Amino acid sequence: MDVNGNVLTTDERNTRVVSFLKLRIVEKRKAERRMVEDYRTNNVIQAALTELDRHNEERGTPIIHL
Amino acid sequence: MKSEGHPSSIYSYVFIDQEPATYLFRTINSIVYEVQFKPTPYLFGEHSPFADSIVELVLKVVDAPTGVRPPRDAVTAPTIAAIINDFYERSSQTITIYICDSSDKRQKARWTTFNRWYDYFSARNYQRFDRTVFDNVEEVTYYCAVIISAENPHRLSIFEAFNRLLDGYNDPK
Repeated sequence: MDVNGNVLTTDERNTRVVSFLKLRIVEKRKAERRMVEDYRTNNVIQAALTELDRHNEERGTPIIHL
Repeated sequence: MKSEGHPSSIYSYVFIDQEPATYLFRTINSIVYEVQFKPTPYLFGEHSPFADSIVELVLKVVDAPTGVRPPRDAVTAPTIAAIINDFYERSSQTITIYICDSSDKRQKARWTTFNRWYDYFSARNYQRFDRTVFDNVEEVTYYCAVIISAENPHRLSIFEAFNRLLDGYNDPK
C-alpha cells in the first residue's frame, strides 16, 4: 500500500524493492570506503592491528589451528 | 542448509568494541580484512520490535600489498564464519542482513563466496533465509539473506518481516 492507502501492483512493489536494494548497495559502498579511510586514519584500529600483528609474530603465524 | 563441519584453522582476529562493531584479521599474504556489523534499525520499519537487533554485514579488504589481488585462501572463509559466531555470542538476538553488491554485475560470484563462508557454520545453531529479487528493467538479480540464531524466539516473525520487505510491502527509509 502506498502513503495514500492505494494497493500497489506487483510491478510497483518490485520497483519499490529494487529502489530500496539499489540504495542499500550505495550505502554499503559508502561504508566500505569509510572502512578503508578509517583503517588508515583511526588510531584505535591501528592500535588493534598492531596488537594483533604482535601476537601473530609471537606465535610465528597468523593462523590458529583449532 | 549444509555444514562443512568444524574448520581446522582460522586466522587470528581482533574485535574492536565500537559502533559499528568491527573485526580485523591479517592473512598469510598480508591482506587485511575488516568485517563490520553495521546497525540498520530502520530496515523492517521504524516501529519494528527488532529494530535494535538488525545489522548489515559488510566485509572489505582494507589493506593489501600493492598489486596483489586477494588469492583464494582456504583459511579466510572459516575465519569469517568464526567472526560471525563470535558476534552472535556477544549478542544472540542479532539479525544479520546480507545484500550482495550488484553494481559491478559480480553479484553471483559474491553470493557464491558468501555461501562458502556460511558452509562453515554449525547448521544447528543458525537459521538462514534467502531471497532473490529480479529487476525487470535492468535485468539484474539481487541476492539477499538474513541469518539469525536458531534460538531466537522471534524467528518466524523476523522471516515474515524480511519477506514483506523484499515483497515490497514495507517502505523502509
